[in-house]
Amino acid sequence: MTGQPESLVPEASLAGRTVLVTGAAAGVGRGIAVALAQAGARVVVTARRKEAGAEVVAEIAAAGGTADAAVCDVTDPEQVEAALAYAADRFGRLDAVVHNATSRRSSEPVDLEHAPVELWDEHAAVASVASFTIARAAHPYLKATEGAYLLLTSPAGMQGSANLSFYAAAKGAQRGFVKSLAREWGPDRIRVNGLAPLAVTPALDNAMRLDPSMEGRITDLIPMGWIGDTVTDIGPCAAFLCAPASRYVTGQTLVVSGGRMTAL
Amino acid sequence: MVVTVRQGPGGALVVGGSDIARAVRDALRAAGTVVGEAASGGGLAADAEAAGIAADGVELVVYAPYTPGSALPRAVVDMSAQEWDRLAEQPVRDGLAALQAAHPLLKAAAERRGEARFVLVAPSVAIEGGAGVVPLATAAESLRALAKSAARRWARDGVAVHLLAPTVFALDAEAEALRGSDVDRSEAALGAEAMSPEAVAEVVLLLCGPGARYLTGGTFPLDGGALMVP
Repeated sequence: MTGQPESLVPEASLAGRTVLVTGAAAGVGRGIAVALAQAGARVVVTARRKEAGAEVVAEIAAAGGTADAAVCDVTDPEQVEAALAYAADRFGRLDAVVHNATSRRSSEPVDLEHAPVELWDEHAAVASVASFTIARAAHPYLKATEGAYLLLTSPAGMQGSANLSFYAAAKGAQRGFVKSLAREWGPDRIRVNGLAPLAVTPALDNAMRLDPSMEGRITDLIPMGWIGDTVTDIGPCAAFLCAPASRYVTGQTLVVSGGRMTAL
Repeated sequence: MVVTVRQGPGGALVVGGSDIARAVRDALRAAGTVVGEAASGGGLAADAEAAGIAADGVELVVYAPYTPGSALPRAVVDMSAQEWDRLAEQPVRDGLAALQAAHPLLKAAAERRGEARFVLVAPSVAIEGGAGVVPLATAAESLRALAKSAARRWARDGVAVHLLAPTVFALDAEAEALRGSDVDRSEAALGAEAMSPEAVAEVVLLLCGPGARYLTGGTFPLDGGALMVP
């Protein structure tokens, strides 16, 4: 979309709060991290390599925001615990965790009938297993702040996918996890929600460069007529679900797709 | 409850040790179907042979698993990584193995008969969520998404995929531990009998009939009218 504003998040809606984002070095994770900072949050940008997260931290700082980077391979429970502890220690509290990281092989087509179980395990390790690992480790921090746990899912998890069947199953697992954990953690006043975005990621951007007709084919299916921008279209919705403004919203999946999916 | 006798498929494999799997086997046999039993999904071809079903005679695979302990309420924060793997991850691996083993059998049957069906049974609590059953719900929703993907891929082979979502209380007697908990909150408009394993078996037979020819990938909540969504 052309002519879009730099920021669409309500200023200061997350002022004084700390949010940790996994897989935040690029794509949707980066967009969410930048938007959270625009909303006033102190953001802990995590990635498997610290230098990758440092680029996003520099981008946030250059825009006047507050952020720090931490190493976190979400498949390693010790790294998860260390990153959460670092975030709480660095900024004095932890109010929300956004689990955005996804398998590096998410966008690879899968031959469902013959794909090895080891490939499925790679998807699950970053999705459902990591969601569990993060939940268990983050619970005391989020209980202390009556915070939020936000998981990135996808319309594929609700509708299935002929070519990305393992991605769909991983994202379906995230939805089942969100709804049940939301009910489990309600008495602790911790909200658990899902966000299902349709956005321009680096992978999609590359694909559209290689196939110039692809963007038109995709936008033809989107009532709003454009593919979401990670900072200005997806990020503000993530900020809302992390902020007190959504304190009565839990167990939900917010589909942010310009109307592409309306069946939920 | 008396199960109405219908014309079932010629050969069927029923996978799983749940109460629903047992009821489905009984209902299919009463309908004249040759039924093979399997504890897990990996060796379905051998299970069909053991039951005397021809290589192209498996017209229906019903996957109705129950992982012991999965309906016993427990909090995520109190769960070990090993418990999570057994209750949330291993069921998906097993389901993937069942889908992969079922596909060539069902495809062969569809080539001969024009159609074949895979039925996944996963508890409805996963659709609405429930405290204490996070791993059960996570596995069920992952399997539902996997089955929907199979439905999209297998339609060209003449193989339909149906998803049945019965109340968790029909899966296994162990689920009685959830009575009075957050999971046991919806009132079934049709009463408890509508949620029995035998009632679920009746719907499996319904989905084997000609009226289901244009259905695939859909989820049928079998909760006696508790959820009523969408």
